[in-house]
Amino acid sequence: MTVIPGTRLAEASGLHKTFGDIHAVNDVSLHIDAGETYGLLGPNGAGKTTTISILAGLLEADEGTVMVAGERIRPRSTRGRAAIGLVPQDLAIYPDLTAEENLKFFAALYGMSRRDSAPRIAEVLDVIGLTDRRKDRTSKYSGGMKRRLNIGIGLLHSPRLLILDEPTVGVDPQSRNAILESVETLSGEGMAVLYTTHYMEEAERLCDRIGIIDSGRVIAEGTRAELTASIGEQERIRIEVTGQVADAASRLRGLDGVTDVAAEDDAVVVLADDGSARLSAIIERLAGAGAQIGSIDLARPDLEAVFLHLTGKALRE
Amino acid sequence: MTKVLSIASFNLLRMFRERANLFFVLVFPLLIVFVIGSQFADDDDAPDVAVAGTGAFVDRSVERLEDTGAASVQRVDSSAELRDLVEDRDVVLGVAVPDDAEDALRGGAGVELTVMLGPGDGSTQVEGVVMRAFEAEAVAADVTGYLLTLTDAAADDIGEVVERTVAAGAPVEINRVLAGGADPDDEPLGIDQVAIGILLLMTFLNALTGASALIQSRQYGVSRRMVATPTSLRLIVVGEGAGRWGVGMFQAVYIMATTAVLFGVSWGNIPAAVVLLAVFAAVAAGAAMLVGAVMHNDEQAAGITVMVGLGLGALGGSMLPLDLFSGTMRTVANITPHAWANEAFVELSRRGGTLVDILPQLGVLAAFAVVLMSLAAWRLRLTLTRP
Ligand SMILES: Nc1ncnc2c1ncn2[C@@H]1O[C@H](COP(=O)(O)OP(=O)(O)OP(=O)(O)O)[C@@H](O)[C@H]1O
Ligand SMILES: [Mg+2]
Repeated sequence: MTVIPGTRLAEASGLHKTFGDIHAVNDVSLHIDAGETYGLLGPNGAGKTTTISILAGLLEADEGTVMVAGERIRPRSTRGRAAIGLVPQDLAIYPDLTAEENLKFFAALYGMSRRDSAPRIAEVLDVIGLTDRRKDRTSKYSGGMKRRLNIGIGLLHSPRLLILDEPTVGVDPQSRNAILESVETLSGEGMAVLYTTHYMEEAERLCDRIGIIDSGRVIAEGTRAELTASIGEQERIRIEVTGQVADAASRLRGLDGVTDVAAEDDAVVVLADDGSARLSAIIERLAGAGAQIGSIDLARPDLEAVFLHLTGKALRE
Repeated sequence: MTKVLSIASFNLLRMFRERANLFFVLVFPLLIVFVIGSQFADDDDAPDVAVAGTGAFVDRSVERLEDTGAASVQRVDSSAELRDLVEDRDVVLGVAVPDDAEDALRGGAGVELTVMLGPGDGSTQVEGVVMRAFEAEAVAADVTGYLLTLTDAAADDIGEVVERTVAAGAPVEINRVLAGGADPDDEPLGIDQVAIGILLLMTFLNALTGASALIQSRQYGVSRRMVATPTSLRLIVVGEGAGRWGVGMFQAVYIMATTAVLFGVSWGNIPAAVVLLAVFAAVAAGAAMLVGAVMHNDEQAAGITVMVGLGLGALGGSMLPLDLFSGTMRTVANITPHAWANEAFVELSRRGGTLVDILPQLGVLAAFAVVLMSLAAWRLRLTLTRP
């Protein structure tokens, strides 16, 4: 694969998609260059999968266009498909076939000859760490192994654009690390990667540029540094609480120096200027509300803080 | 084309992974052969008739009866035994002949036969044939006896002359025709017709099972992923259909060959019959893909396929021959692929037709297949790329 880094590989302009009353994708535009990893970071239901489906030609946009490797991508045509490798969010493998057979099957669908595919399949099996288990039916695999195969199929034909939809959900930390590493390697080889996640850490580690998506809109875009600069020097404080989380959170609003507050399942997330100095006041407030306080986590400005600042919501709610 | 073959071969690989399917593919045709064979046997099996009594008259009558092929005769020693057989329904009818029958006839005296009828239609159907055999044989003895009273010649000489006369008599040949001019030997319910009906019914039902394979692929998310590859939906549909089409063809050819050899079923021009079956199976595969694209789960599809398979089969003359349909029904039958295939098979097997003679039917069937496949591809696109 000879790719000149920096060439525009994929471009989506003005995408819209509605499902009934839900505006799942609302005027999304983004572009990805060769060798670049673009992260789409957003909570559940933000519109990540819908955007990706349009990019991969699986879903017709109501409005807008997608170009990949110089071809217009549309559901009714197979043009440009060969340039794309898709790793869907939900597993898409045959449980009654082995890993090797699954790979052979998709190699054929990507038009690879037997001669080309055999060494490539061996390579991919190696990358996803399934060489030893390649002759086992995938119904006997662990969840993480299935996910790895799911990714392997997307890599198989050495696509110029690899689209991964939350590939690490339900994967143990070790496999997760292996997946992230292989994405880094591929990107280093010049592959363009579109990576969706709701894990801030993954986006921070992998992505050259990040689009923060919420309710169908890309509400901020840029490098990590650019995004965090937008919220200044505020710190993010995450406090585990048991009891009335929403109630506790509301008591923190309006506290001096606190700009944003959001409730997670079992924690309150606060954005504050000079957070360490405010900590005692915050804890006092929570204790006064009768909340049991668990661990406290104080962080430098990060993407989660950006998301909280932009939406008033926690990324994982 | 390689993609179609790949999709088809992996479809088959998955099918045969399940042992039950292997069993089905290999045993099912045997079952069908057996069913066809039993139809054939029923057709051929003459009813059993028992005869009690000894002597030349009885021997000759039994021989004559067996020559007609209308009954197979079992000789018994006593009328008591005869009664048991009839009552136990081992035979449909029994005839008791007095032991002195031959002498009585030659002596000019009458002979009284006792016919014991079993229950059911079988006995009355065969009664006439049985009685004619005995009556015919009685004539010779009867005439001999009568001549004896007129001349002084030796009884044996007269007997010989009479027998020669009877043997030399020109036989009566009966020519059966049907009003309307059809050949009465082409019975609408003949073995060939039954075999054709069963074969079409089975091939269609069998290929329809491909629907559940497609539904599974959809449920696994694999179909959707296939659409994301540079493979058109048409190729995907044809490939998924081709696997089951192959299995159906294998079974059908196997059944045709076996029944032809074992039971003498005539399928007509074999290459033409195989082409016809191939096109017909393609129609079934198309129907399977359409069902597989529309239905949401296996159980739904299984119910629909059995209903569609049997319904179209019945309407298309696979259960009751089209010849027996009324005018309107015959026209309605033409909406089913079965009717066209049936007609083409009849052309091949009864009228000695060739490939050229069935081109019109092949054309209609091919159109069926193309339309069904296209509908399936269209539906599948909606199903897979729709929210
Ligand atoms: N097929 C569909 N029919 C109706 N609504 C849909 C459909 N697919 C998605 N939506 C809606 O569109 C919105 C965006 O969904 P989408 O799957 O793109 O989100 P996501 O960012 O991928 O979420 P997650 O992180 O949970 O995967 C949601 O509100 C969802 O309910
Ligand atoms: Mg999603």
